[in-house]
Amino acid sequence: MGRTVYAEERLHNYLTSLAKPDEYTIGLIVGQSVGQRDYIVHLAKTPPPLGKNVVEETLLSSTTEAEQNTAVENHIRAVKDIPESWVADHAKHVTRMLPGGMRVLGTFIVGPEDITNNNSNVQKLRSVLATMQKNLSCNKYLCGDNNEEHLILNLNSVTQKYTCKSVEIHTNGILKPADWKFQAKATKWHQLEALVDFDRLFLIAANKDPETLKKQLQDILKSVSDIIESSLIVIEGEVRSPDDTLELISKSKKDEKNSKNNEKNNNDQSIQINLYIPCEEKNMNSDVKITPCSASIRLVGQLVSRTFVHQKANVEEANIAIKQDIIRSLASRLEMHWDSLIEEENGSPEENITLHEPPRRVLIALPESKVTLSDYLFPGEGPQEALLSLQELLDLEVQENNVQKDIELEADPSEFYSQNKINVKTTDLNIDSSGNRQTKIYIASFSIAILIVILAIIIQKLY
Amino acid sequence: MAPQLRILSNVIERLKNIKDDVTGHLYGVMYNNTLTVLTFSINLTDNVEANINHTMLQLHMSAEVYLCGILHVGQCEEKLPEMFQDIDITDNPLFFKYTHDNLKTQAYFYIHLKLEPVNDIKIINENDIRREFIYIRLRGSLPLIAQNDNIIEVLEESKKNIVSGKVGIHFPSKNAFIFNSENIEKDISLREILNIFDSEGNKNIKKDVKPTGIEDAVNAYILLKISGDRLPEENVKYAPVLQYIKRPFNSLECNLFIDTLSLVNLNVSSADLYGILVESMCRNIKLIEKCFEYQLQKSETSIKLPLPIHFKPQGFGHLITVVYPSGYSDKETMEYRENLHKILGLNMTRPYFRYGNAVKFYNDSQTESILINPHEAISTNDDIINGNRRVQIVQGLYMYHHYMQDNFDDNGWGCAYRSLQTIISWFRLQGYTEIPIPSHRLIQKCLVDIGDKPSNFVNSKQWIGSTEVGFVLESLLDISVKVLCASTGEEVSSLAPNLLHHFQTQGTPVMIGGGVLAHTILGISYDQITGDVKFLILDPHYTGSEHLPTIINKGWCGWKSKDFWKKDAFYNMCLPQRPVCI
Repeated sequence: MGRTVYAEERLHNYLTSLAKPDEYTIGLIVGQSVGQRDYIVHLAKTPPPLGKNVVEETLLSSTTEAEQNTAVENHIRAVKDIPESWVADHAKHVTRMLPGGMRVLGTFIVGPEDITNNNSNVQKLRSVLATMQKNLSCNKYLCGDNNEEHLILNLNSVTQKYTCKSVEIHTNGILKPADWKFQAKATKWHQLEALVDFDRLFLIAANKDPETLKKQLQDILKSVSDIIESSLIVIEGEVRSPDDTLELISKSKKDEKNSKNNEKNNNDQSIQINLYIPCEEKNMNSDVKITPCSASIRLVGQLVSRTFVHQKANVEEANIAIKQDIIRSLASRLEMHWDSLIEEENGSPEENITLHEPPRRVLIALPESKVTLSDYLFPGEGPQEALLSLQELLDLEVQENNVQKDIELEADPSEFYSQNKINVKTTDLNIDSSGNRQTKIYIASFSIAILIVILAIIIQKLY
Repeated sequence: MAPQLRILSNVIERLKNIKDDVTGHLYGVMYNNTLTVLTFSINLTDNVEANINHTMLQLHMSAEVYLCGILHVGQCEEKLPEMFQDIDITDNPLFFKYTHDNLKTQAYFYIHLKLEPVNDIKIINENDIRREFIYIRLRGSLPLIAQNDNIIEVLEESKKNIVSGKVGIHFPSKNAFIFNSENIEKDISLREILNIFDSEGNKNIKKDVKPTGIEDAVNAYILLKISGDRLPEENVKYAPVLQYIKRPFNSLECNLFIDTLSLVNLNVSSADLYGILVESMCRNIKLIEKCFEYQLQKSETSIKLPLPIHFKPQGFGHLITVVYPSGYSDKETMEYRENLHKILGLNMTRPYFRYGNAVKFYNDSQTESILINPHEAISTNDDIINGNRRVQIVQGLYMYHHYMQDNFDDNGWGCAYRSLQTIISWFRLQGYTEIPIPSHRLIQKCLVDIGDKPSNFVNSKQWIGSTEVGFVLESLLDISVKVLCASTGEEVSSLAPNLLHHFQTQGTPVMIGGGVLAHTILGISYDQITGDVKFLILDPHYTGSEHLPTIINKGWCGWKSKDFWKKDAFYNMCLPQRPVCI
C-alpha cells in the first residue's frame, strides 16, 4: 500500500492559483510524516532565482528589488530548467522556520503537463530531491534530514488534475502512487510548549590555537545538542510511557480544568513540557581538571519551543519532535549569527567582553491553523522583517498582528557588561551597510565605561 | 500537645561510655508528633582548633535527622533558654539528662517557656526504626566548572538551583519519578511510590534472611531540570545570547559526586519527600563546600574532588556521611577523623571513619559477592545465651572466605589460607588496612620472603598452620598475635576464659589449627555454673555457593559443642591483636 497524504482544502486553492499556461512552478511540501501517513501543513512556492551572484542574504532583501528581478526573467520554462541548488537552499531556509517534527517532505510542481509520465522529468525531479536531501543531511542540527520517501505532487495546469507519487531517492526506486487527499476539515494538532533555560559556560583553553568564532559556536551547538538528546521529557509533570497517546493526556488535562471550573485557562490547550538531564554516575572519574584558559563563552537565556504533533501521535513521537525543535531552533539562530558576522574580532585588547546576540524567535500562525512557524529577528528588527521572509520563503501574506513577537525578549546588553568592575567600551563591529541585518557586537575593554553603553543603546534605538 | 518521645537503645548504650559532667546535643527524627532520638554529640571544650561543631554535625546526618535537643550527662549547669538557641526544627526542644549512677534518665520538653517532664520514654531498637523508616540514597554527578577558584560561588549557585526546584528524582527500582510539582491532588506516599507493603506478617521467615553488614537503602538518582515553567506574560525572559569574555584565568572542571542519605518515614507524601531529598542534597553540597574550603586554605596541595562516604560506627543505630578529598590517605584524614571521634563521644583507640569502615550497600556494584558476617543470621536459643552464660563474639565485620572461592580449587589443603583471609578481611573492614585479600600464592610468597619456607613452597599445595598464619599477619598487617595451645581437644574448652577475654578486648576472629583441619572461631559461650562451653565456628571447608540459608542450616557457620574438637589432636590458636589507633 502506498502513502496517504492529508492536506487542507485551502492548499488546493493555492496550488490551482499557481497554474500558468506556459511555465512551471516548483515548491516545497511541508508537514509531518508518520509511518505511511503524511499531514501537510503548507505548500511553499520556491521564489524565482534572482540572478547569478545570488547569495542567501539577497533572498531576504528588499521587496522592490525582488519584484524588479522577477518581473523580467527567471521563469521556469521547462522541467529541466529547475535550479536544483536553489530549491535545495530554499528547503534549508524553510526547514529553519518549521517547528520540530515537521520537515520538507517533498516537492510540488505545477505545469502544463503530467510531469511524472515523462522519464527525463522524473530523473530531474529525483535529482532535485537528492540535492535537497544532501543539503539538509549535511546539517544534522537542523534536523531536516528525510531518510524516508519523498513526495512529488504534480498539478497539471491544463487539466487541473493532480497526482502524487512517493519516491525513495537513495535506492533509486521507482515512483510509487500515493493517495493525496484534500480535506475540508482541518487536521487536528496537539500543541507542546517548553521553555528551555540555558546557562552554560564553555571554556577556551589558552594553549590551543585560536579557533574561529564559528567553530566555537559549532562546538557549543554540538554540546548542547547532546544534552538535549540525552534529556528526559516530562509531559504535564509526568514521565509517560512512549506508547501513551497525547489524546489521553490532553483529555485528562481538560477534565481537570473542567472540574476546577477554571474558565480563563480553557482557551489554552497547549501541553506543558519540561526537560531534565539524568545525572547518574556513568563514569567515576574523580579528576579535577585545571586548565589555563584565555576566554570563556557563556550561553545564557531562554529558548521558547512550540511543537505540533498530529492528533493520534504518541509520546515517543512528541519527544522526538520537541528535541528536534529545540536543537533546530538553536542551530538556526547560531548559523544565522555566524553567517551575519562580517569580521572576526581579532587583535582586540587583552581583556574584553563581547556580547553575541543571535536572532530571537518569533512565531507566526499559519492561516486557519494553530500551527505556528518560526522566524528569527536580529536585535533591532521588527515583525515586518518576519512578514517579509514569510512572504519570500513561504509565499504567505500575514498581518503584522499575527506575529507573536514577544515570546522571547531582546537581551539588555548593559547587563552583560557590568561584570567584575571591568571598564567597558563598546563598539559596533558589524553594522551591515544595507541595514537589513544588523548584528550588534559590543566589545568591551578597559576604557570609558558604561556611558558608552548607554550611547550605544541610543544609537540602536535610532535605527 | 506534647510530642511522644522515643529513644534508640544505641543512644543509651553509648551514653554509658561518656564521662560525667558533659553537655551535648541530641539529634532525631520527628514524624507524626513522635520524636525519635537517634544520636547525640558531645560539646567539645577544647573547641578552638576543632573544625566541627554540633550544627555542622547535623550536615553529616541523613536528611530528616535534625538537631532536636540538649543532653546533660551528670551534673551540668542548666541555662534556659539559651541552651536551646541552635535548635530551630521544633518549638519544643528536648532536654535529656543522664546520670551514670543507677543509669537514670530524665527527659523534658521545653513547652511555653517551661520544662515539662516526659513520663513515658520508649526505648526502641534499630529494627523498630527500620519498620517505619527507610534510607534513601540519592546520587548523581553534577558537572561543575569554576573560574579562578570561585568554586564556593559555583556551589552556592547550584545549591540555589536545587532549592528552587530545578531537580527531579528518579527511583530506578520502580522506574518512578518525583518532581517539584504543584499538583498536590496526585500526591501519593513513598510506600506507594516504591510499592512497599506491610511485611509484618512474614518478617520471621528465615530463608528470606538478608546478609548483615550491608545496609539497605533505596537508590535514587538526580535529574537536573533545564526547562522553565510557564510564566505570566510580563516575565518573558531574554533569548539565548553568548557572552564572550576574553581574559586569562584558570578553569577548574570536575564532576561533583552527590551521594546523600535521607531517613524517611514510609508514609511520607511525595511532596514532602521531594523537600526532604532536596534538603539531603543541600547537606551534601555544604559538606562538599567545606571540604573544598579546607583544601583552598592549605594552598600548597592541588585540589582534590570531595567524595561523600557513609559510615556506621559500631554501636551506632544510624548512618553518618563524611566527605573526604578523593585520594587522601587515612593519615591525611586523621585530623578530621579525630574531631569526629571526639564530638561523637567515640573512643580514640579504634578507627571508625577510615575508608575501610565505609558502609556497604545492597545493589552497589562495588559490593563483593562474598558474604559478610553470616553468623548474624543464626537464630540463637537458650543453649547459647541465658543468664548463666558469658557470651563474647567477634566485634565488627568479616567476610566468609572458604574453599573454591575466586575460581581457585584449594579443596583439601587451603583451609588455613581461607581462615587467614577471613582474619585479614576483618582488618580491612575495620579500617586497619587497605591491602587486598592475599591469594594463596601471595601468602606462600610472603612466607618464603620472610625465610620461613623454601622457595619451592610457592605454588605448592602444602598446608599451613597457626604459626604461619601468625607470621603472615605480622608481616602483611604489621600487627602482633598471641598463641594459645591445647594438647588435646578436651583441653580447648579449658581455654574458654582466655577466649572470652580475647573477644571482649580484641574482638578479632581466631584461627585454630589441629590435626589436618583449620577453623575460624568467631565467639564463645561459657556457662559459669556447669562449665559448658560452646564455640561459634566458621568453617572454611565449605565448597558451595554464597548461599546464606545453606551455610546456616548445614552448620557451616554455627555454634558447636566441645565435642567438635578431636580428642587426640593437638590444637594451636592464633589470636590476632588489634592495634590501638584511630
